[in-house]
Amino acid sequence: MKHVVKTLMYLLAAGFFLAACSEDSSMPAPSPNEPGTGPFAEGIFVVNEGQFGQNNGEISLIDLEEGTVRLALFEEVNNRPFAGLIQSMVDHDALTYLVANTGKVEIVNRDDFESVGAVEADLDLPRSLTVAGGNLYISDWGPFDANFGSPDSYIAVVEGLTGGAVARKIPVPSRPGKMLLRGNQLLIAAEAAGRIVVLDLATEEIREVEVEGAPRDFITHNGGLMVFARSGSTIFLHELNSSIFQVIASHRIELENATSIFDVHENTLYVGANEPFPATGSLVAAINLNSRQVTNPSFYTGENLYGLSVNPANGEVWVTDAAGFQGNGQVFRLDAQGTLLDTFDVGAGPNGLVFR
Amino acid sequence: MQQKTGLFVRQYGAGMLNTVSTRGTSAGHHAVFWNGLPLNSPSLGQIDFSLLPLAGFDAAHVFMGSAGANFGTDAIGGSTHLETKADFTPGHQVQLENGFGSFGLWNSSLRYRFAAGGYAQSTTFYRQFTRNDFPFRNLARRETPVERMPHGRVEQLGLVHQSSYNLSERDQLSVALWWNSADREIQPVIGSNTRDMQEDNSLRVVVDYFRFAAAGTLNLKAGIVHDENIFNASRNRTRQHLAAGEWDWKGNEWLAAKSGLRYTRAIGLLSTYEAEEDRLELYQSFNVTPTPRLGFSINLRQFWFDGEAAPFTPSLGWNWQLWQGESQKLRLVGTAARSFKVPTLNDRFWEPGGNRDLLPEESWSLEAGFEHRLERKRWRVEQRLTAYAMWVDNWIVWLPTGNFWSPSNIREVHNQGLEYQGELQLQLTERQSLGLRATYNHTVATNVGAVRENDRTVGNQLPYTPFDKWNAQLTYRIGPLEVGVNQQYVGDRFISLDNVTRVAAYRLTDFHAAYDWRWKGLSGQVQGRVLNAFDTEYQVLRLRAMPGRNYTIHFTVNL
Repeated sequence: MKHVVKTLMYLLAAGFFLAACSEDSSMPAPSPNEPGTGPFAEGIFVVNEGQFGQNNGEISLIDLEEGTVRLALFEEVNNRPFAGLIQSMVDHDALTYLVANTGKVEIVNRDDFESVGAVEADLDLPRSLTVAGGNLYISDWGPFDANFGSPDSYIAVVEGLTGGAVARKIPVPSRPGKMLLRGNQLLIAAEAAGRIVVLDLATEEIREVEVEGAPRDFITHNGGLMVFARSGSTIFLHELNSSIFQVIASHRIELENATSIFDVHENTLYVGANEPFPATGSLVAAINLNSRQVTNPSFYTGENLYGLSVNPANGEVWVTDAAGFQGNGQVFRLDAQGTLLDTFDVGAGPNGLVFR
Repeated sequence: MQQKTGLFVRQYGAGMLNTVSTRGTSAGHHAVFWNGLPLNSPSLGQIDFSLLPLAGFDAAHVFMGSAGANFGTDAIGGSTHLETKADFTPGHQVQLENGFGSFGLWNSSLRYRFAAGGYAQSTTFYRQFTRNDFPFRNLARRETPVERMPHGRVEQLGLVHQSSYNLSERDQLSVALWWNSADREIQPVIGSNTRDMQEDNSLRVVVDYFRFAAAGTLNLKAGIVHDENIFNASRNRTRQHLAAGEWDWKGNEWLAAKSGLRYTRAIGLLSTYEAEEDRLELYQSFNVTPTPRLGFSINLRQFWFDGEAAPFTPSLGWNWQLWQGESQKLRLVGTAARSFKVPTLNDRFWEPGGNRDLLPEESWSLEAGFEHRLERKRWRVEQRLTAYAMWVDNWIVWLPTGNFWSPSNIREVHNQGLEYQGELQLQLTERQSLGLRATYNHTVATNVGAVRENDRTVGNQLPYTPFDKWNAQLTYRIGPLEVGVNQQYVGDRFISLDNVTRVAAYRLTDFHAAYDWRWKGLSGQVQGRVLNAFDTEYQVLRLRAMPGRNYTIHFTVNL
């Protein structure tokens, strides 16, 4: 019996060893861990865009229990600066994509942040990323023209989850940003063009849906699909048909000096607004999505509002403050009534948060 | 310049934007003049030192410290005065210079000088070129590969002319002209793939009339400065027209005085706005020497811009010879001064955001120091130690206000520091000598005003202001040959006012050798340099790549 146990243990140990070896030798890049096992499997991540011309974008990690912040997670783990301006952080299975509008996407293990790949060439001003069918779809404004317009916007397609070369570019209307995958259709908000683009991933053909205002992002609410768009102080909520994505109803909400900074939790839409010039203050209004009435025009008042994210787990609203881009920013945690719970110093130009 | 003075040059790359920081103040707090013409752009309020090639002037004087009462706007932290000088030595002279170096560097210039009777002229044409494709570590990519800088080519062309004509024994008329045209590929920040192009064209013309009388010297000056900057497709132009008069009264053995009036019209034709501004300055200064060992200088200046009065700026300087030995002198010198900087045209008129209600930035400063001189038969020492304190208020900062950025008089800064400058010359033998020159600067530039509630930056050091900087240069000369080594240290710097992220300190070593030759009536110099000899990887500003070890060789021929 003793022998059997010993043998089994040897076998187990050898098995682990072999598994470790084979994993090492068969994967050219460090293999993505299963989600939920690494040091960063859970946490509150702040996407710090960085300051223009300084490429000091980074990800900060907030430890709520300790009240501490790890300011520059990417550099801390990978021993090199991120060296870019981060637009979005996208988690997908075991990988995390950091999309920089300085022309690259860094790909790290979701749970330990170790670099496993990148898209380093043939991008201009990437904004966001969606993973579908083993491919990466990167929305990119394309190069600026002489008047800082973006007439040559595209979706870059990379075949493979850990990056590499851009396989092809699909031209789309001006300034594609946020995207939403619905089955085999990729919905893209093209802000400058005032259009929703429906990209059929099988044929890679696009169809355009014109909307009023500049579309920013998609909202799913009560099983329905909406587009958040804005023009000046008017917010538009365009309801889309869920199969052919045509606008079936459009709603207008007036909010003075509204911005396109928003997030949704259950029935509440939170939207940022500016105090009129020369005041420099910022506001967040709470809007009921069912009645489409502003229920609280000053849910939050502060300065330099730059981003807004609601923790889906508990409805806490996190407001980011870019501190005038003079240096590092701050984030504020508010409860669902708008009471300030915590303040954290984070990296430069925080534009949103990711909750795990 | 950085090696010889306490200036810290913020370099955005090799041959790229170079701005100076004096005593922890910003780039716009250093006034630059060429033959008395203000060179700081009226729209930007500062100048790029990369656009001032050495060929454009014969002498440069750098003053540290507030001197608004002496030089008007912008001279809060210091000032630089560039001059061309007339040489009345009769005859013709041609000087040809060619320099070659790493990364495609090729600088050449041709100078023709002529003087006869009461006329002297000098004309220089120059071209400076570098491909600037130096290797650098691309920190933005996985494995941080070493790559060549893809976008950093610089070409500058220029023409400098100076004519002086003695109308009589007591009257002199002189004209100076400097045209400079620079075409640059702007070196991207590491991690960016921008391919910005920048062209800068400048024309400066100044006419001076001098009347040398027994009682003093009268100078009448008229000049123009045209600047054009084309950044990608955006074109910005400014013009300054200057008319000035100054009477320098010799007085008597204990009193001299200077009175002056300057009028400047600044015209901005910018990509987003057009604006004009009149600037008028009245100044008066006195030099009082009650005893040979004690001197005072009192300067008073009033400046108006667009009908608004800038702060009245007085200054008081003193020097007191504490002790004089057989071969040594020790002097105590000091200054108390008020200084100012008027808001730039961009600050006031930029569309959108320009703020017409801005006040001038203003400062009070106090400095005191020792000057020591020693002269023996074989050696000579000159050194100076200065301590200063400065309070700058109404410092202008651009902040986002909703949809655009707008400037306001928001920051308050307290600067203090120590400056040491020393020089030692030792004559070893008749043909051999040794020279040592050292500078040290300690700068504490503290933000003292809260810009907003819970401002975490109060008490913090201003960005890109090293606490410590030193430079030491050792040279050895034997007859016509000189060899030398220079070492420069710049301490770590914060990248922003929150004082969280630092850029590492660096130490650079350069070697040089120069040989003065003569051959059949010709003369000249051959000079070789090894810059950054130990191939140190460094950044002055974060993620702005700088070249590693590089070489230049420079030939001068005088015909």
